[in-house]
This record gives sequence, C-alpha cells and structure tokens, in this order.
Amino acid sequence: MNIVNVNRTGDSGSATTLASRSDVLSNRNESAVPANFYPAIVVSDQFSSYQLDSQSVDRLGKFYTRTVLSIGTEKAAKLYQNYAIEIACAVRMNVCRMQSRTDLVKETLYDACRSNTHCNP
Amino acid sequence: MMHVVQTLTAIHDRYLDPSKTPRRSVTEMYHLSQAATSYNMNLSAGVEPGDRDALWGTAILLGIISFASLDVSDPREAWPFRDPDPSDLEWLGLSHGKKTVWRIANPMRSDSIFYPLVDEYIDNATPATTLHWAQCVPPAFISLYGLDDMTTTEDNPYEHAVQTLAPLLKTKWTRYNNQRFFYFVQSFQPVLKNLLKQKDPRALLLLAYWYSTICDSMWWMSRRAIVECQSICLYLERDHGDEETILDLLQLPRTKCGLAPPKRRPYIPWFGSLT
Repeated sequence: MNIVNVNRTGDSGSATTLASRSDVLSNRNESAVPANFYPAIVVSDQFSSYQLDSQSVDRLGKFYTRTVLSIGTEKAAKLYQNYAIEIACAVRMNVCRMQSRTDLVKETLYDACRSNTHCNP
Repeated sequence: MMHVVQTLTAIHDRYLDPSKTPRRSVTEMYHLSQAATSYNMNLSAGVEPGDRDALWGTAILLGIISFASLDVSDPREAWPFRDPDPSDLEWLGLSHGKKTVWRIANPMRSDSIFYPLVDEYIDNATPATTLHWAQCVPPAFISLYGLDDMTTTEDNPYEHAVQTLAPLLKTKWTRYNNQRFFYFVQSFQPVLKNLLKQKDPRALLLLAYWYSTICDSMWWMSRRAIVECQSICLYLERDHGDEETILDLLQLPRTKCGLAPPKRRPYIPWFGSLT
C-alpha cells in the first residue's frame, strides 16, 4: 500500500512515500504530521479506480505549481489552480474513496501540491 | 480528470527535459488511455448537472493534450511530409469535439466555476481588427483561393477559413488572445478538413500560415506549430514544387517556423524543378 506522506511545515519537502524517502522520516522535524497518519489515496469513478503512488502525487504537485500556470490566460490558470484538484476529486465524475473523510484526502493533496519543490513556476 | 492531469504533467516534464526522447512515455500513454476510456464512459452514461464543470475542465485539458502530443521533432517524420498515419490531424477532430462538450456543459452559466472567465470569452469573440479581411492577407491569396466578389462559402471551401485567418495575421499572439487563434481551426468546415486530410496544397498553405502565427506561444502549442509548419513547407516544396504562387507564399511561414530560406531552383515546365 502506498501511503502519502506530506511535510506540512512546507519547509523541506514534497509528497513522497515511506518507502522512497526514508531520509525524510529520519530527519523530519517535530511539527511534521507522522507519515502513518496518511491514508492510501484512491481516485475513482463509477467505472474505474486509480491509486495514487508517490510519483503520481509528485506529478500532481508539479501540475499545481507549474503546469497549470502555463496553459492558458493568467486568470484561467489561477482558476484552474484553485479548482483542478477539486474537480479531480469531485463527487460524481471522480470520487475520492478512503477509509476516513474525503476532505482529508483533498487536504493531503493540496498540501502535497503546495509543498512541491521540484519546479519553478 | 486525475488521469488527464497526470498525462499533461508528464508531457510537460518531457518537453522541459531536452535529454528525453521526443517520443511519448509509457506514463503518458497509460494515463491518456485511462483518461479517454473514463471520459467516454462518463459521457455515455449521461451528464448530470453537477458533472458539467468537470466535463468542461477535462475537455479543455484533453484538447491541450491532443495538441501537445507530438512525438517527433524532425519535420520529415511529421505530418504531412511523412507517410499517412492514423494519428494524422487527430487533434483537429478533438478540437471539434470540444464544441459539443461546450454545448452540453455550458461553462458560461452563472453557477459554473468557469463563469469568471466570461469576460475573456466575450473579448476574444469580438473582431481583432477593423481592417477588411482582404487588407490582412497577401494579395496573392485572392487569386490563389478564388476569392473574388462572386464566390460564396457554399462553393468555395477556403473562403471562410481565409476570412477567419486574415485578422490573425495582423494580430500578435498573447496568452490573453489565445482563444482567438484557436477559433480559426474550430471553425473549419468539414470540406476543408477533408482537403487537409487529402493534403490539398491550398488548405495546407492556410494551415501553415496559421501555425506561423503561434510558433512563438505556449510550450504546448509551439512545438507542433513549428514542426508541422516546417513539415508543410517541406512537403509542398517536394510534392508541389511546380506551383510558383504557393512556393512564393511559403516564404512567410518558412521564416516564422525557423526554416532556412530555400534555394530557388530553376523551373522547367516539362521537367519540373532542378535540384
């Protein structure tokens, strides 16, 4: 199972997994939320489902901080940045399923996006 | 939508890394096939009012993906210079599909998340210039496309496209007016699309002129614009080298897409161009 770990302080990292970033775990500061608090994230609709692995969460972060800002007018880019993940996790077309609340999934994804440090918007 | 986001970001990654092959990655292909399947299934199942914004948002990104999905960098390996391929002009078909989704999703309704963009849509729907279209195109267009006063759109497959393209030739591309430029291809009549598929030289010349207006634009537009503009120029020079007017008119797109000036070759009517 892939577990999304996000450093919520926003000062040192991006979305990752327990398996791929043990250094983050060993060096994380005290205010970071423990990694095992984060659930597997599965995005699905009535026809299919897809579990986000660390690369997918990382890519989502790049979309949020870089790609979405490069595809339309400035106003449209900002609008998309605000709503893309909301739409991606929208109930009906795409439903985020998890063991706890959908809001927590969105919050986790937004955190992953905002803390992405792989790109220069 | 999630697969669409993954696909577009993977393409952007590829574009930003010059060391990567221009070919599509497995990641792109996987997510795109999943996105297309899911989108078609959701459309087929019927669109609920609450799905409309997701439907339109996904359509926009799919349109961008289809235009950005060019997996060659050599114009000789690109359409139309290369041999026919099922993916030829695929992006053009998707561009037309967006019009249908627009009608279903109606993103300009007041409760849409896209409603704040209504001013931009309206701005880009107004004429870009007060000049008459004939003042915006090279004079040789008039005779090449048979655009005298007697023609009508019904009997001239090029007329509407030339008139739509004309103001763009006098307009500098910006992110803000981008939609204006895409209206040109979205307004193609079926007969003109068929002419493009048949590699009709006049239709190709029009597309080359349009490409030349967006060679210097956003990352997801410029690669296809440059490579296919070059490919059209090379194709027309190779297969229609006896059409002097077309070769002369190619100079502008040739320059805009970065091809070196062609060597002017003597033309012998009964023999063709000498290399």
